[in-house]
Amino acid sequence: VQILECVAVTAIGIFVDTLQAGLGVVPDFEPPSAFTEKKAHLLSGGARPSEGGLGVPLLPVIAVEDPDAGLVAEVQGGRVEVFEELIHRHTRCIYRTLMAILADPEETKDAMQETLLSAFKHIGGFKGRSKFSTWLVSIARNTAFQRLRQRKNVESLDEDGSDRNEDFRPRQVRAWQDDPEQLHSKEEIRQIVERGIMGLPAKYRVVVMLRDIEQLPTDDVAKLLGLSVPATKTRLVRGRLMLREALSRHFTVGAEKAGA
Amino acid sequence: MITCDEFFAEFGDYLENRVSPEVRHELELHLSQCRACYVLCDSTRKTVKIVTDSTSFELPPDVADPIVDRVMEKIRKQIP
Repeated sequence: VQILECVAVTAIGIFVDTLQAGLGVVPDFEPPSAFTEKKAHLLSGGARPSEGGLGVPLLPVIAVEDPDAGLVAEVQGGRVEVFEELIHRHTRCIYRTLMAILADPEETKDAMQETLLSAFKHIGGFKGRSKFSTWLVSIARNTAFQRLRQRKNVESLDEDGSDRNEDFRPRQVRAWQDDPEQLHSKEEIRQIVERGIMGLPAKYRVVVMLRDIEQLPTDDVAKLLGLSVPATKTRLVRGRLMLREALSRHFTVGAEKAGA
Repeated sequence: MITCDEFFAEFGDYLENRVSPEVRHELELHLSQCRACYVLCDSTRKTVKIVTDSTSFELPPDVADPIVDRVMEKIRKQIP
């Protein structure tokens, strides 16, 4: 009888967990800025994100294994100094997220400080339903979007169909070298790539950076930017094609060595 | 054989390995017979690899450390 009871209780527990997971749970953190779910603006022209809407949903909202959980618990328990170790683990990811959106190294540094202070302010409310790193990146995103809204000339990140008009069709169809990375030093390649990415229109730059530099899954990039997955995939392939065009002269057959 | 436009429509998913085996077969048949699409696909794959391997937009420690130091200093001041 005890064994049967044990099996029954376990089964009910699994069922309830599955139900909760299917329904989703309340996000850990209410983002300070407000964007409609499908629209995120990078910049200008007067078209601003609507105020008062729901925040872009945070990434996973189901309880997850998190390598930061122990440190987070310590900070929440009052060990403030542990926060330093915690944030040192994620400075690169935060920096790249902010640079992807802001494209300005100096402003990115200011935004990074703002992001970390905001994270400390709200860490008491973090309940571990998403990974700490995901939660941190969502704060970075909101910080960057808030700063963009304060700029005067703003490009739109909306899914407004304007993708059709972008010049992404390949023009350069010369074959690339078999092993193009041997043509330049690592430092030269880093500079070529950074110049190429910074030259992309904002809505493509953000997606390419988060997917190919930060290597987030496409679905996570979509959620992070408040875009649909199809729109994200479209921007990713177009951004990659534009970047290919920009990089071509450095890597095609016959390209000169050290052409950075 | 599929057309270049049809290939292009599936190109993004093909790069991400998100196409079915049947679609993959059609796309690779096209690639084997269309030089322009082959070059486009090959160079885009190489672009992604170069970008992924490039360690671009790294945050140097001499930039990160002062930011973290300033943050911790402000936090300590907030603690009674």
